[in-house]
Amino acid sequence: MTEKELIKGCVREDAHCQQLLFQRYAGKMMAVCVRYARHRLEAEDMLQEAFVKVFDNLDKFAFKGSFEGWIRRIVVNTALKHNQRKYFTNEQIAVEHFPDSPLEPTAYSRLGEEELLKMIARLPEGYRVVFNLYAIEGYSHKEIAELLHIKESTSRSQLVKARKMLQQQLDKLQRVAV
Amino acid sequence: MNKRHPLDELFSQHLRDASAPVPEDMWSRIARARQQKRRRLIVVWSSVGSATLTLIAAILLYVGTPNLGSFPLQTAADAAPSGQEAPTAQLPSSAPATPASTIAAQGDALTASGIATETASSEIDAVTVSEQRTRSRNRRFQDRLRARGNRRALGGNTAEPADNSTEQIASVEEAPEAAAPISTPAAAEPAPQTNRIAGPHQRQRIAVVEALPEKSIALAKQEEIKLFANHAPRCADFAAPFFRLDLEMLGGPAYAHQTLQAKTSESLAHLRLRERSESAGVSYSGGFRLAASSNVGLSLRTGVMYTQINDRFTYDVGSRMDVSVIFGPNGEIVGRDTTYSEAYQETTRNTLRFVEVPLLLGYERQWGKLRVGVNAGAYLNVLFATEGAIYSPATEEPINFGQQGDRDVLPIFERQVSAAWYAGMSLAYNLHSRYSLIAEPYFKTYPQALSSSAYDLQQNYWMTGMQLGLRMRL
Repeated sequence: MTEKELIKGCVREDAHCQQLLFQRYAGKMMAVCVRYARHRLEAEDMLQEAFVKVFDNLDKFAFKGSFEGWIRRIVVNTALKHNQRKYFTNEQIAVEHFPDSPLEPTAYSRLGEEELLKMIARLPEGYRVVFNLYAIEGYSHKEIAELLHIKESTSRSQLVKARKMLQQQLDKLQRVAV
Repeated sequence: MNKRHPLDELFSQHLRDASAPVPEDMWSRIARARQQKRRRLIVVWSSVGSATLTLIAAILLYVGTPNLGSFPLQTAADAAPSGQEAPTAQLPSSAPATPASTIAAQGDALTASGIATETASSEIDAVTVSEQRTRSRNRRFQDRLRARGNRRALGGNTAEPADNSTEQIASVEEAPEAAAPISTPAAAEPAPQTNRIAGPHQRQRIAVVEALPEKSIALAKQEEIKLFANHAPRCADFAAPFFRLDLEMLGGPAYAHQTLQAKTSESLAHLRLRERSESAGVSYSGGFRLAASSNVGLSLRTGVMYTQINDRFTYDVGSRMDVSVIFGPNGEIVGRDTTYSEAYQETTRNTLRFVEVPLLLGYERQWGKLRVGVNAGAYLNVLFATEGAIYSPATEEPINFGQQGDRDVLPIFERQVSAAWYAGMSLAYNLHSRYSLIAEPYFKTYPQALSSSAYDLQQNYWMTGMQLGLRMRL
């Protein structure tokens, strides 16, 4: 079944098509949710909420651009909204003293997804969200500022701090490996 | 050229298209959530629909209440106050209608009732009114009209209609004999509804019309409406309406019980901390309700109600240093007294505010002056606001809470809550034909958690209380 047929079936509220569509994208979208969530249960909640929105708004998809991109955008927006509702915690972590050592990507290329996900999960929420949006989803600082209702400069500084913290974690990993 | 930061590149390469295992029951959870959402929409739309229908029905009933102002024929002796002119009867429908039409052309729709004709007076003569008095009244009225015609003639505009009216009035006066057969009691009997007596409002109306200048006829008409509304004797066209409408103003104290439930075992410690630190305060509820009650006892209620749930939050405060300045006899500072107090407790108030639209179905019975009823239904939430503090689940320090989307607070509550179920028993004691005192003990429960889905605890409420107030029949 082609993607278009699948989408049309879902719009007709065909349960079989809906389930197929879910199975096709659930894994990837779960990975997106895991990056934004504090823990797995929250990621599951995000995924559930996002797919409810996807099925409710599927008739609005105009078959322009990638369908996966459309779903991903809904998932990311849902995750951001979910984060806004979460605990208010002023996570003040002094990152200024972290060394800004140069990165050698090749040294970490063998790192698995799980380790990288754990590193992201250890980031304070603000840093995590900005890093996810900028580095992985490919949003610009301007878009991030609009999405999160923050200044562009804040987005930039959050990203820098997130990178520093990740760098520190990678350095630790390297020391352990050595 | 790749401008990307190598760290970004590393994470993007590995995670952009990564996949994560999905719980097996996720699909069924999504299907269930969609079904619940659909059900909620149905409930909301049907509630909105029934509220609209109730409102329309209430408006229609209110607009369609008794057509006032037409009251049955009375004898002149009953109608006329002593020392005043005897009231005159309106012409039967079959009698000449020219005076009415002519005067209506001058802006008077009801003037016909103020014109006594020989025809009408001959009918009432047999009872009380003397023909002599009626004729003299007609003559005076005719003179007034003639004077008005003359004034218009001087103005050069509408002399002709004034002359016509004079002629027509004269013709009425001259034709009592001709009209007499029509106005015999036997002839008048088949159409008793058309026999009306000029009421005080009509006499005042004539005075107003004559006192005002021509151009203010429209104003006089408005005045007439007021006079009619204020002074007209009221008599309903129907005696027993199918519905009665009541306006209820209610308010009173309540007890709200908070129930907390941990979603995961990790949040049990937070649950215990909250249970230990929070207790119920005095809550209250009040507002307005419109009730439509049918003859068979069934009733529908809607309106606007405000509910405030108050809880107390008691928290430990660390040591406190109080410094008091000691002044000498001349106002100079002679020293400072410093008091250190160790851990103590402070209490603040947590509030949850609701503005709700009740949709209640009820049944009522009347026993003498007492009207007893039961009401049950939903309270639809239109506004929900929270304020207060709890122990933070992360730091176990007091922290202000709020709702989803609120900034600088812990958003533990949903932005909007769904309906509450309500059941109450109303007791109304009739003080006056229109006013009753009411007391309504009730029970209300919020079936869905008021807390946010992202919060570790599920927070529900039920409340019970007594509302006292006044019921006014509309």
